[in-house]
Amino acid sequence: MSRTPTPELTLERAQALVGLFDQVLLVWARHLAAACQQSEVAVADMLAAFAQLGSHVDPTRTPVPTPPRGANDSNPSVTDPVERMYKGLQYQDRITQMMTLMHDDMVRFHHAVHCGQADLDVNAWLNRLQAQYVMVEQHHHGSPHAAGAADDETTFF
Amino acid sequence: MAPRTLPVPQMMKPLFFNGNTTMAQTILIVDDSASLRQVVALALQGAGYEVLQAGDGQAALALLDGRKIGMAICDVNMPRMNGIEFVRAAKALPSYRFLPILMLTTESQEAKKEEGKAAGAKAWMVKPFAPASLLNAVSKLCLP
Repeated sequence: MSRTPTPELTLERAQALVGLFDQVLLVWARHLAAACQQSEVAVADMLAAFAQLGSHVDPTRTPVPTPPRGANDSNPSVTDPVERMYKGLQYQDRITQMMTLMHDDMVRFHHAVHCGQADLDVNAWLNRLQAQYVMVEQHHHGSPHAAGAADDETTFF
Repeated sequence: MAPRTLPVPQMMKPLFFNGNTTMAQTILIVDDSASLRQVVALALQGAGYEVLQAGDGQAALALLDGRKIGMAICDVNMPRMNGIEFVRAAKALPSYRFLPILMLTTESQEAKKEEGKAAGAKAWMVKPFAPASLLNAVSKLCLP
C-alpha cells in the first residue's frame, strides 16, 4: 500500500501556514471581542433589571450565623435561584476574562507576525500566556470539578 | 480589545432599605471587571452599604483621599496596580493602616494567599462568591 508522502516543511510552507493562522486568528479575535462586549452589556442589563426587583426579593438571604444588615426574611424558593443567578453572572465574567486573554494573545501574535518577529521565542510566549492563566479551570482543560473545587471559600488571616 | 470599562453607576438603587437612617458604612470595591463590580455592589447595596468603585489599584488609591472607608474588597489581577500592590500601598498610608481588605479573586493558590496575608490583607475569598458568604465576611471585617 502506498502512503502519501508527508510534505516537507519548507520555509515557504511555514510562512504560508503562519499567514493562514494569522488571518484565521484575526477573524476569531473579532468574534471574541464582539462576544465580550455583548456579555458585558447583557450582565449590566440583567443587573439593572434585577435592581428594579429590589423590594420584592432579597438576594442576600441564605442561612448565615448573623443575618446581614437590612436583610429581610424571604422565601428559599426565591433566594436559591437568585444565588444561582449571582454565581452565574460571575461565571459569565470568568468566561469573558478568558476570552479577553485569548483575544489579546491573538492580537499580539498578529503584531508579532507583521512586525517581522521571525525569531519568536515560543517557550517565552507560552510561559507568559500560562502566567496569565490564574483560574483553576484554565489549568485543568475545562474540568467542571476543578472549576467548582474552590467555590465559595473564605480564608480569614 | 478596549479595557473592560463599562460605565457603572456609582450608586445603584439599593435592593432593600432597612429603615436605618444612621450613616451607612462605605465599602470600596476594586476590580478591573465592571460586571463583577456591579455584582458585588448589588449585593452590598442590598444590605444597606454604600459603595465606591475603582477599576485598579491606582484608581482605588486616588479614591481613598482621606475618605472614611469601612473596608475594601479587592481583586488580585488588575492592570496598572494589582491587588497585592494596592494592599501594600494602602497599608503604607497612616490613615488606612488599619483598613480591612478582603481579597476577592479567582486565584486559590496557597502561595498567592500567603502573599496577600503578608501584604496585610485580612481575608481571602475565591470567586464565584455567594452573596450571603460575602456579606458574612463583610460583617466580620467592616469597621464601624
